[in-house]
Order: sequence, then C-alpha cells, then structure tokens
Amino acid sequence: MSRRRASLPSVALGAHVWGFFLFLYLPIVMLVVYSFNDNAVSMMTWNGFTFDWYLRVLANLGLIDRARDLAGSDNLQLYSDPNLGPAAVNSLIIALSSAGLATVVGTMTALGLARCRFPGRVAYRVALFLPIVIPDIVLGIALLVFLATLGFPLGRVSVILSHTVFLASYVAVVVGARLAGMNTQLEEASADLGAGPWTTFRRVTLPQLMPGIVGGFLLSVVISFDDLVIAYFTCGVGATTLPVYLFGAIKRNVSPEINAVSVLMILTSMLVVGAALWLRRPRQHKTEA
Amino acid sequence: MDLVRVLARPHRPFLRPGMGKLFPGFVLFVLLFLAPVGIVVVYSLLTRGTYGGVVWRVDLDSYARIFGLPNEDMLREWDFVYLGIFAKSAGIAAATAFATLLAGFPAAWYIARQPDRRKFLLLTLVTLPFFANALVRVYAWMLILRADGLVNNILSGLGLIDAPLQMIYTPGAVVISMVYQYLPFMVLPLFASIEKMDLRLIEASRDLGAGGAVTFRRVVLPLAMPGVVAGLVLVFVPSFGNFIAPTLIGGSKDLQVGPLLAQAFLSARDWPFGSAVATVLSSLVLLCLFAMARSETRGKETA
Amino acid sequence: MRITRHLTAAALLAAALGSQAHAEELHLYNWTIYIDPAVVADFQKESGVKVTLDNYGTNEEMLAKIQAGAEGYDIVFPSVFMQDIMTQLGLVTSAGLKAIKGYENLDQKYFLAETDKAHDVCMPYNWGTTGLIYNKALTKGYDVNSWKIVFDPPEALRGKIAMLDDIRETIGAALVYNGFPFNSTDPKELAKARDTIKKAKPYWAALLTDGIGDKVINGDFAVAHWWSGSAAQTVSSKPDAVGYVIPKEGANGFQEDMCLLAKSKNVAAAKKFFAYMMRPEVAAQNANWLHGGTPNKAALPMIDKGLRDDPFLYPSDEVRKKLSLVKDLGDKIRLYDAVWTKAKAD
Repeated sequence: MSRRRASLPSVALGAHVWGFFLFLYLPIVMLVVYSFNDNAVSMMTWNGFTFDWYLRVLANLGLIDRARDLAGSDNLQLYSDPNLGPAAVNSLIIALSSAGLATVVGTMTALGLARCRFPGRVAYRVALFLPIVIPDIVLGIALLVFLATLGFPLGRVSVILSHTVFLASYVAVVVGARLAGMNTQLEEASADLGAGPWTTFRRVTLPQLMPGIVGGFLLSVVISFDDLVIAYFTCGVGATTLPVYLFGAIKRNVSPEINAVSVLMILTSMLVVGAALWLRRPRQHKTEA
Repeated sequence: MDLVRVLARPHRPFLRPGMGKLFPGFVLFVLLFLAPVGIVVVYSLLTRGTYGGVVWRVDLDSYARIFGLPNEDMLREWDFVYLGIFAKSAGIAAATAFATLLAGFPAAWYIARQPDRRKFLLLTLVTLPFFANALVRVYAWMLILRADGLVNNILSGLGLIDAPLQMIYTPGAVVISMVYQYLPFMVLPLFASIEKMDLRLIEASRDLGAGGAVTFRRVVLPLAMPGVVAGLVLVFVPSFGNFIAPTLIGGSKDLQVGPLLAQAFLSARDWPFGSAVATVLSSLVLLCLFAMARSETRGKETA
Repeated sequence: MRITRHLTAAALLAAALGSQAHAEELHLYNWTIYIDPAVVADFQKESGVKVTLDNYGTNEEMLAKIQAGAEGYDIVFPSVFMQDIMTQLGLVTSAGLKAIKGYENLDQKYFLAETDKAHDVCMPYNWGTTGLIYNKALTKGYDVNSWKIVFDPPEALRGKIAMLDDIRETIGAALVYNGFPFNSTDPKELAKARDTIKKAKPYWAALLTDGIGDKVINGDFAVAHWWSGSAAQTVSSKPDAVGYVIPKEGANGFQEDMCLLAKSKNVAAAKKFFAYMMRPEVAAQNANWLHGGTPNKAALPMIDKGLRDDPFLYPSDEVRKKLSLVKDLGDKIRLYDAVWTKAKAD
C-alpha cells in the first residue's frame, strides 16, 4: 500500500544515507588500502604499493619461510614479532572451544526455558541477559578477582570458561528466538506416529533449530575472537589472544604490520559473519530486530 | 544415557522433567557469573590489602570516597572528584547516544521504506562493520584523526590548514569512535519501530494541514519512541563503561569510569575501591536497562 | 562405528594439544618489547628449551596477574621496588645466582633490592632513566634540559607535550621539579605536586606509555616524558630529528631485575636461561638492542660506542647522583592514587 511519498525532502535523505554508509565503510576501506602502503616510517603517507606487511605477518605466523620469501624486501630490518603466531593460535582455540561449549549449554538452556514452566522462569530468562549487558570491564575484573580468590590458574582454560559464560547467554537468546517462532505440531505429529522422544528431537526439533544453533555458534566464535577486555584480565601463561596482543602492539605502534594483522582479522570475522547471515537468510525477516 | 533421555523428553506443558536441560547453563551462570559479581560486591565492603587483595574487615570508606564524603583518618575533605568522573563519563556516553540518534534516524527511516530484499541487504550492511574487531575499529579512527592521519593529510593537501588540527586525544575523538562502534545498536531498534509505523497516520496528519515539522514532532516521533529509547539506552550503556576508546584514542587524559576501574585494580592495588566503582557502575547500567524495559512494556504490547 | 570414530578424533586432538608438554619449557613474563627476540630465539636453538613470552604493561598489572594465580610463569622482570614486594609476598624465590656460571660478570653495585642483601635472589637486568625526548625542530630555541618545559611550557609548545601515564613517574617528576624527593610521602609536598600537574595538564596532549617515539618524530608531540631505552631507540633511528635528555633537576633512574618465581616448575630451564643471560656477549647484544644500561661489567666493551658515549644513556657519576629509584610506599600509595585521580579528573 505504501506508495513512497517522502515526508522528508528525499534528496537530503538520500545524501544523508550515502554519508551514513560512507561513514560506516570508509574507515575499513582506508585500513585495507593503507595496509598495502610501502612506507614504514609514516604509515599514513602513501609511498607505493607493497605486499611486504602481509608477507611479514605470514612469516611471523610461520606460514612462509622468512629467509627465502622476504629476500630483497626493503622492510626486512623492522622489528619482527615471535608472539603473533601463538596469539593467533590461542585466539582460534579459545574462540572455537568457548563457542562450542556455549552452543551446547546455550541451546540446552533455550530448550529448557521454552519447553517447561517452573517458578522463576521469567526471572531466569531476564537474568540470562545480565552477562551480555554488564560492562565487559566489570565482568573481566570480577572474573579475575574470583579466579584469584579461588586460586584457579590463569591460562587458556580460564579464558575459555570466562567466554563461555556470556556466549552461552547469546546462544540462548538466538536459539530461543528460533524456538519461539517454531510450531510444536511437527513434534506432536512425530510423537503420534510413534517416534521415541530422542528420535523426535533428533529428526524433527534439531533440524528445525539448526539454523539458529549454527548462527549462534558462528556469532559466538566472532564475539570470542573479538573480545579484548575479558581476555585481558583472565588470560595467563601462554594464553595471550590476538586482541590482547594487538592492544599492546597498537599502544606501542611500532609497525605497519599492525594494519595487515587488522585487515586479516576483519576478513576472518567478516567471513564467519557472512556465513552466519547467509544461513539466516530472510524468510520472515520482519521478526529480526 | 539417562541424561540423553532427560534431554529428549517431548514437549509436555506444565511438567518439569525437561528442566534437566537447564542444569549446565545454570551451574555455569551461578559459578562464573553470579559468584564473581557477588564477590565484587562483597569485596567493595572490605578493607584494602596493601599489595592487592582484601583484609576481611568491613569498611565502607570505598563508597564514602565515591560519594565524596570527608574522612579525617584519610586526610580527606568533601571532594566530589569521583562523582565528577561518573558525570563526565555519563556526559560523553550521552553525547555518543544522541549523535548516533541523529546519524541513525534518517538512515533507519530510509531503510524501513525500501522493498524487502533491499531492506535485508541494507540492514546487513549496517551490521557487518560491527563484527570487525572493536579494537581494530578504534585503531582505524586513530589513523584517521592523528596529526599525520587521513583527515589532516587531506586538509593540508587541499591547502585548508597550515598546521595539523589536534583531533586525537580529545573527548570528541572518543565520542566519534564510539558512535562508529555502536551505530547498529541504534539503527536496528529504530528500524524495528519505524517499520511498524502506520504511514496512513502521517498522511492523515498532513491532510489535516499539519506541516512537516509538526507531523514529525506530534506523529512520527511518538510512534518511533520505543525504538528511540531502546537505541539511546543500548548505545549509552556500553559507551558509559567503555575502556578501549578512552584508553587508546582519549589519551587517558580525562579519566573515565572504565579506565578508573582498571587503574584501581592495576595501579593503585585497591581492590575494595575498584569493586565499589564496579558495583556503582553496574547498578547504574542495570537501572538504565530497567527503565528502558519499563518504558517498553508501558509503550505497547511486546513482540 | 561412529562412536569409535569420535573417540579416536578426540584422542588425536588431546594428543595434539598435549604433545607440547614433552620438551623442556620456559615461560617468560616480561614488559612489552623488553628483550631482543633474537636472544630468545638463539637460546631456544642452543638449549632446546621451548620458550614462551607473554607481555605486561605495568608492574602492578604483572603483580595482579601473578597474585591472581597466573601459575606457570617461570621468570618475571619486575622493577626493583616490585621485586622487594614480590619477595616479601613470597612470590619470588632466590635463583641461587652465586652458583650460576657467569655470576662474576655482574657488577655488584647493581644489586639494589633491599630484600636481596646477599646479592643472590634476582639478576639485575637492565637500567636506564626517565627523562625527556624532544623534537629538535619544534623545540629550537627552548631549554629542554629542565622539567620546566613540560610543567610550565612556553606558548609555542602548549598542546604538544606528552607525559607518562604512570602514577609514580609523573608525580615523581612533579615532585622533583618542585625540589622535593622523588619518593616523598609528605602530604604537603604531594599537594604541591598535584597542583603543578593540574596547572600543566591543559598544556599536555596526552598521557601515554607506549608509541611515543613515532609521535615525537612526526610532530604530534614536541616534548615527551619517556624511558631512556625506548627514547634512545627512537633517537638512533632519526638522530637529526629527535634527542633525549635527563633534566638538570634530576630524574628517576629505573632498573628491572630478572627473577625466578616461587611457583616455577621449570627451575632447571630457568637456571639455564639465567646463565645464558649472564654471558657477556648475550648481555651486550640485548643491551644494544634495548639501548639500555647493562649491569654486566664484562659486557661493557661490547656495548655500541654510540650508546656508551652518550652522557644521557651511560651518565657520569655526577649525573647519577641526581637519579632516584622508585621505592615501595606500602599503604602510602593511596596518597599517590588520590593525587593522580584528582589531577587526571579535573
């Protein structure tokens, strides 16, 4: 019905929207462009195109042979960082483990909340939002203080557990939203046709939930991969993650290599999110908000 | 195998066997959320240990300090420095929230008026940058705003300035980087309430002779209000306790709550005081969210 | 059998993750960029010990992590005052330095910790000063040799000054500028220092600890409060553009020591590393890379001439007399915290 008759002058609106998307994407485009800038001294002055920073990152990750592949590059003498590789590995291990755990726990929670009534159900549903909304620095410090009080060793495990707590809430919300929109008739039909509860769950409920579960998992991977503050406070021996590493590197600002690392991190996150969005392509996207 | 059977009980309303599914999540929630947060609240009421940690003796001085009360033992007079830090952080967060509203409203309006396929595409485009690492996004703004950064390079290239403008390490820089950070939190709820809006009401208002400004103020804004409130709160909350932006792009010069918290634990070794700051900060945040939830339920039926 | 396959996969994964535990390991916890990566790499190659390196930004951050139960680290690099704290808290244990080959290379005057009268606990690692790095072009015609230039800067330099985001360093500098002791706990003197900082703060662009050098080169900052080693690295990359001074009023002379943690599980590997770091050629290589002062007297002849001859990097005894060392202040740190918060917030 809605024939567009813009109540705001549509030219101004169009210009604003263009500006809006420029604002959103220009910083990222700039980062990508300047990550190819062949200027080791002042990073933001264009001095020609180079792959050097990416080669150095790959070399530091141990993916290419430094001596052979960097031969002849002018930018070799700069600081090389042996910590990048382990940090990347840590981030991947932590993101995959905590997202995996959170997906199982969060999905169970969502099913439990949707499928059974009990006193305090609404309160618990609301309480599950707390780990998401509390400022990350408060949660990070609380976890540090708590682990310290218990004498729990800080390391990868402490980061994984810390991440799992708030990721489980995200998954519970995402899967819960999916459950809410799902009809129970199929489950009942399956039961009527004589399928056992486990079969019904596996053959009927789970497939319907799958997009939500996978979406929740991918979202969790990205959020864990992205987190600086909580990892900063809870990481320990050999558990420095990529953002913690990057935070140190940005503060000291030594090399354009940071740009290349940044771009690779953006790329990783975008690929995962792209996959998640693709899985949740709109059928009835009006419910999304 | 019992667990499997418990997990797989079919849907039977008003029965409770399925609650087993809630167990792992509940344990996790209690052990790694309620307990840590609870300990922080308890520690905020104790005495500081000289080298970090606490001494188990009740001492309310941490709160007295935050609220500016004098304390003769500590050679302290009335002093509202910490309330000032809270106020300044709140001011910066509020500026961020209103700036995102100004930037986000027209965009949300435009997106809500597009055909469905385009709508989805545009919303995806709004959300996508949000998933680029938060740290990296602040870093990008550092490169844009520094003395030899993108903006200064362009301005001096055009001959508009002689000396570089000081942009990085100002409160404005913190605000702009947080606006960038949290725009999706504003656009998505705005979009949701604008999309639901009945356009005939606007047409009716125009037909009755109301001007654009009046229609906007009297019709559009009230209808969009739930989205506006949700957006403002969702942007305000993470901006208020932000740690990364003030640290990296604010130059640490104007102390904000997030860095204050880190300073209490990591350089003053004052766990009770840091815990008290964390407790006050969390309470304020929850209060905001509670107010938002209230206004939403009062507004209309919820989806 | 599907279950068998899953179990096999899990076992393989566990094996892959667990297999790292076999070789001898050593876990270092050090300041950001505070050891030559080549030194670590060479040590790994020679000894077969697998080294990991994590970084921290402040003494207190490291203390909080170690106290919190960051078990598994073997060696940390605290400043002298933090070494005293950690020894008293039982977090650091004696490395038994005297029994390690190479001990005689160390200059005894660098054993500064009050908890190490026997000179046996922690190895002096690196020392330097906290002074001012300046952009030569921008400060032309001004006297950068005094703290006055940051606490009462001339018109032209206002807004182009950076101070360290470090509670003890910046308050200490303000104390010294006012003629008080660097470690003062006198509330009146601290109040004066606070007022000095509050008055000067509008002229400061930022409080930072890292990444200062690039910004002095590119002109973001004309003068910045910084550590000599980092400053000297910057100066050596652009000697025509930037310089480093120790202000005439005096300054902080810092020193970090290399300590064995009480909970270390790799004591044998740690001792190998101590012995390795005591070798003159290794100490010299590391000091040259850090642009720092080496406490290893046998290494001195191998220190780059440019470093050794710089009066601000290897200061004369006369300048050395005006250097102070950060002391642990116990609960008095609260006074500093109050001053710092007040100065930063207003």
